[in-house]
Amino acid sequence: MNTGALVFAFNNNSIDYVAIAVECAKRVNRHLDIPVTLVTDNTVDSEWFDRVIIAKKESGGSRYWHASQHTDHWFNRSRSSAYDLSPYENTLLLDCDYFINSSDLKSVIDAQQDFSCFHDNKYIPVTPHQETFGKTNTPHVWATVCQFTRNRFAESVFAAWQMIEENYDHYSKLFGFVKSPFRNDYALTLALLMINGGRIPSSTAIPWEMITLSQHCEFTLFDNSAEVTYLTDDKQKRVTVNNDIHVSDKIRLEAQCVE
Amino acid sequence: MNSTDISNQIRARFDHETAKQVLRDRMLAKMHFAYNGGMWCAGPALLTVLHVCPDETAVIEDIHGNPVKIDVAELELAAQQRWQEQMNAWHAEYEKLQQER
Repeated sequence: MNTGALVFAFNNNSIDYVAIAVECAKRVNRHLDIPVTLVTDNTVDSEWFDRVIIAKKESGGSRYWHASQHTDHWFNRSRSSAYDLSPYENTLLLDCDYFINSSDLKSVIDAQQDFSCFHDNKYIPVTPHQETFGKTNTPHVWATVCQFTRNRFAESVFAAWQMIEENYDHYSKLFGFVKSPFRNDYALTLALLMINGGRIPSSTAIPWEMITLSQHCEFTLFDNSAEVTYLTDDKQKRVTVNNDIHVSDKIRLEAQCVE
Repeated sequence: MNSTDISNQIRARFDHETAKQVLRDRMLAKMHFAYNGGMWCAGPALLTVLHVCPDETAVIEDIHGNPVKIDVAELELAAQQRWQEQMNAWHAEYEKLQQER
């Protein structure tokens, strides 16, 4: 079964997501040893991509960026088309801000499940709460990392994800969550609930927690780790993270990727 | 990194509790492996199940709840090796954390 990673990156006026995707691809190559396909809206010449697919850039609304204290478009609307766009039979769909520091995801790729994604997330600094959405406080899964093979279940997940994206306004009213900006995490959660009779199938869980560096962290990225500093209880603390990490602060991330 | 960043880094206290949690998460991730189309978690629970399988082959449930046909000795060896390797690595990393200031 041919296997590869699929990364979506659409630049806005403030952030060069393609530069972030190049760093992401380097790490996928280094730690997982699989080819990477980039989905973007312009031609990109980089040795780190196996191929580049040109797709339409669609804004999911505006998002506030804490680090630079301004608002800009967030082009996050085409990930639900990953099933149609992926050139691979076994695909690892990654957000470009997910930084691989280990070979941990190899087990997920090798298991070749129909569909899997993270169900749990841990923020650094650690905050003891489960992330939920809407008036029913539904816990949500994370669309940051998804693995899927070509099968009817995965096809249904993406078809439902796409349908929810197209009718996001309706679903936001139905479940009582804010309709802008568009959140792939919510759309994927609703898709999984919809096709599994109102329950998130536990078999779709990547069996450990995703780690996210919150907006309030400062960090320096290295080849296999990140040095993170943050304030808790008015004290400055630091920790070294050797795990794969999801980075919230794209502006600080971009600054390190283009260095 | 400029000099202010460096001095800030030095002033920052090493967060033992978070480091311990993050290390545990990392090691739990490393306990997982794929075998024969199933996903497994190396550890006492899996090893105990394999230990009581009487035949060379068996069908057991993987962590996703799928029944998978396995070669008992092969999976036991893979699970045992991974479990010990990762526990040793965990211990070594943990000892390093204890010395960190």
